[in-house]
Amino acid sequence: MIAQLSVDRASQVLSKLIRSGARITLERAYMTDISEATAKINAQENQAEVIGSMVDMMGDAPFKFLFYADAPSCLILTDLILQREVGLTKEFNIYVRSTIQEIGNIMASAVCNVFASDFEIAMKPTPPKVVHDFLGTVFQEFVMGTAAERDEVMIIESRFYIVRYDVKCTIYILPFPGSDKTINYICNTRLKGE
Amino acid sequence: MSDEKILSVGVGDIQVAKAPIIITTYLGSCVAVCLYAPLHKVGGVIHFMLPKAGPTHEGLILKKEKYADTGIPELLRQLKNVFKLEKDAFVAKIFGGANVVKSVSRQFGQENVEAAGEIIKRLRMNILASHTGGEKGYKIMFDLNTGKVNCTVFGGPPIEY
Repeated sequence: MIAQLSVDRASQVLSKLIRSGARITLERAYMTDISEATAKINAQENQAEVIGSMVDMMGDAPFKFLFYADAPSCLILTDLILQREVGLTKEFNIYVRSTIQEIGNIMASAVCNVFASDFEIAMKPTPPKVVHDFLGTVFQEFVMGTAAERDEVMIIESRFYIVRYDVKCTIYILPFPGSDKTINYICNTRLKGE
Repeated sequence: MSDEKILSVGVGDIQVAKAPIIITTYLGSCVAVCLYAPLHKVGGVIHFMLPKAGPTHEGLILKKEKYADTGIPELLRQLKNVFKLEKDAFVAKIFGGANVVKSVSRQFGQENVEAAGEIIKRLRMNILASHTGGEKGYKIMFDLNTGKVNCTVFGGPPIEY
């Protein structure tokens, strides 16, 4: 339920940002072995460049947040955010970097707001880090902090599709070790209406 | 290359195999050590993430494949056991250790590369080739038929080692 609310809110925020409907095409939360998860990502055939924005959400239930899309999709997102004709941005530049950083920041904040307003958990995002690299490398750097502490982790994964522009993007939310206690508390008390 | 099976190695994992196989992985601050026995066309890759093993903040002991000091000897042990070969049959190649997400506090990539070098030296093995450091990710494809590693740094051309 927490995952669903977070992803719904992130989707609404993305749609508003780009003034076009972003449809959720995949939404799941699962436990996975770090080695298996990264091997699966590494085995994906389409490893072309991606641009991602990583945000650490610190507070009572700390999370790591990643938003990423492939490079052509990021160019379209840049034009949409800058409110100019789609196709004008031709290559990765400072505008693309800033756009992806801003999308990551805003979507991570939307997820934070779900925790803060719906579950009364204090959360604060750190400044986003933009990574332009292979998908395998970006995902690996994303899981590094948690993988150092755990072999098996919970991942919330969601994919968005912006139909009008054929743009696909993905978010991952990775709870840091220690978050599970807070999440269990929410599940056992707030969600049961106690 | 197209007829060969491809094995993917994840973070904190080991793959060992005999030709015709290609072992592939993507690296950021992690490091891959490739061991190869040219006469027997067998080899393996470890993809480790930290230089030294130790308990976590919660006191957990994690997989030995995650660390250079426990993982590299484990890779050698698996190769020796599975293929009944001696240590001297193998040569090493090292890749990765980039500083992708810039951190001012610790340079994990550099620490990983240094740890790999020290452990391979301690095992008295030869490092035949290496490509490490930088700020961009690596894609490596280790062909067990030839022992060559095709290494692409993000944004650059593939180079064979």
